[in-house]
Amino acid sequence: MEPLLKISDLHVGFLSYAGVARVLNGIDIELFPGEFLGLVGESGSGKSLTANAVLGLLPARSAVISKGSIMFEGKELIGRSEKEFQGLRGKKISMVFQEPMNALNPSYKIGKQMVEILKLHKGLSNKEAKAEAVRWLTQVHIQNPEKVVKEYPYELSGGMRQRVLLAMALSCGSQLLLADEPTTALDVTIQAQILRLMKETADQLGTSVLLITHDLAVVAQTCQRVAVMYCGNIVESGPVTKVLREPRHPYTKALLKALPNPDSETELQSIPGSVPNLLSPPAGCRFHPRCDLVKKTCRELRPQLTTVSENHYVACWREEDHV
Amino acid sequence: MSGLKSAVKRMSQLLIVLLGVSLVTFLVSHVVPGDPARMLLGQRADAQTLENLRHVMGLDKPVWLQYFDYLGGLLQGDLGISIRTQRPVLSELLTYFPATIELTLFAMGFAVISGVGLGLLSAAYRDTPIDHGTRVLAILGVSTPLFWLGLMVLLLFYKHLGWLPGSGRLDSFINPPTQITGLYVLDSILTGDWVALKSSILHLILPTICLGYIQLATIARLVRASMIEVLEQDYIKTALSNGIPRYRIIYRHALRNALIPTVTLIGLTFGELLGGAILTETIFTWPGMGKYVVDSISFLDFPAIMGFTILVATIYVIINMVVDLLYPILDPQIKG
Ligand SMILES: Nc1ncnc2c1ncn2[C@@H]1O[C@H](COP(=O)(O)OP(=O)(O)OP(=O)(O)O)[C@@H](O)[C@H]1O
Ligand code: SF4
Ligand SMILES: [Mg+2]
Repeated sequence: MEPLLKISDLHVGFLSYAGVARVLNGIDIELFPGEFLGLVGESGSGKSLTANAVLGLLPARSAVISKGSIMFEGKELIGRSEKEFQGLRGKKISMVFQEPMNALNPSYKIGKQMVEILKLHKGLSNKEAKAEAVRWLTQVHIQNPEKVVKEYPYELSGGMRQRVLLAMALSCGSQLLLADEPTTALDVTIQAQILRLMKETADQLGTSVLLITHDLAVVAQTCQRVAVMYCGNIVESGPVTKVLREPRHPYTKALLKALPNPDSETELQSIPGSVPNLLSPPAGCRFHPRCDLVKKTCRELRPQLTTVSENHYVACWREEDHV
Repeated sequence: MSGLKSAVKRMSQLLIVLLGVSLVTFLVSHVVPGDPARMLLGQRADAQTLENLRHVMGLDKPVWLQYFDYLGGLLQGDLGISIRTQRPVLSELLTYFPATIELTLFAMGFAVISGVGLGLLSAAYRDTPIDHGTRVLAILGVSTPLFWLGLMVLLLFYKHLGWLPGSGRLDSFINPPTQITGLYVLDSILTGDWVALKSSILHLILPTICLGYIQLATIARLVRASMIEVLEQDYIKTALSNGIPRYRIIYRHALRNALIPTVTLIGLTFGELLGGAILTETIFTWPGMGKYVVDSISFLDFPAIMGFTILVATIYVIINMVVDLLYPILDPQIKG
């Protein structure tokens, strides 16, 4: 099957007075139609940036894509004009963000905000768009949608707003949803509801989802595959069952150890060391200053993703030692 | 809050402000050395005549009694009799008032429209030559003294280039339009008097620009700053990620929210403009309240000065009430 989204060897840097921060250092991600792919990693590893790059939303003046390709439906996205991106955003590729509280415009009613994009992308009349907005609110299980369309964002709870945002993101028929920590800012019970809703709706519509999170439990519940990101690189990717049960990369192992385990009494282990400075990142494998298994090659050459078993890829020099 | 309750609240605020303003101006004008009766009669008047006049004017009563007399009149809409002209202050002020209001309104319109426009432009084209140019214009605006700017503008456009008139409200050979509101531009439109319309607009240009320029600069800076802040908000990111075009994001999603702090400033601006109008009127010999009040001050004409102060304070308070009423329209979270 052809991937819907294929990111290969994507390099993104930020220009600053102190030099270029190499923030994405060769990302490879494939996402197939109808699939949920989890993208996990510590804060600052470049997850949001990857999603923004797909939508052409990198800050124009400071970010540079120096290398790589982003193919969507078999067509290259890098180098497209702003106008072409506008035609994709919200129509073919959508995004929901972490913070629902302020993600809706405080000055306009919910209905108005939904109608705006429905008219824009689907060319509906005002009346049709209004009906469609109500239908979509029903779809995301909002009680009393006729009333909600007439309300302002401040009248809704966080969970409700995230439902509205999800409805907006999907309402114009996007095939790809980039969900950037969509539940992090919500209560635990609401988190589960929103995730279930997202899963249900995306499955029903056949939408592919790139789910960015640092919660491995969320990945285990919702995703088929997961990609683990460290400091601008994908270090391991594969089916959730494999990556979470039999992690191969030292970083993935460390991440899993850092998870609170309800069954054991052992202390939560945090990963020793800290995320490197991206202005002068470590040479070779970027994880080497924090890795127990480091060897000479690690400090000199960057390991590439290689197959360790079916659909399971790891970027680590020690992995090759095992083979 | 119910409409009635908030109306009552606003009215009582207005009354308190007016009471304060009248007290302060009254006290100030009575501690200033100088004798209005003497001003009126001249240096050679004899003591008896002076005494009589003081009695007629109530100047021999204790100060607090004078104040209560004044307040009593005020409540009946009586601002007293001008010492200088011996005519009721209120009717005098009302003759000069429309000219000042016309100038102030034009200056306000100019400052708000171009200030918001320039602020928007420089936020949308942040850190480009457009932005830098606006910044220079704004810095000049807040640092140029009004009288200097007025003189320079007069020299250039009136004296050297001869493009625009530099004094008065109309060319001397043109009759004012039939009085309806006293605002020449409005009246000439209402009566279809195109000759007067053209002349009055031409006469407004230079004083409007001078008076409005400082406020324009302040508004432009504030709009720029709040636009930039709003453009960083999450809902702008949502709009972008939904494919809404950039121009629409600016004027529909960002501008409205960025205008909320600006509206407060515009309310305050009106007061500043009324103050600045006095100076501008002097420079451009504009026959408004400014000139009247300057003449009154040099004559120690207390009733006139106080009447002017109270009128301006009332307008100021009313404008800020209007501003308060605007908030709920802009920001649905504030309910009037
Ligand atoms: N506008 C910017 N200018 C400079 N550096 C930036 C900018 N935006 C992001 N970065 C850098 O890029 C790196 C990756 O950022 P990104 O937001 O993608 O991280 P993330 O994985 O999403 O983290 P989090 O889990 O905290 O959301 C960070 O180190 C950050 O400092
Ligand atoms: S490549 Fe070397 S340093 Fe990097 S994770 Fe593997 S063993 Fe550790
Ligand atoms: Mg992020």
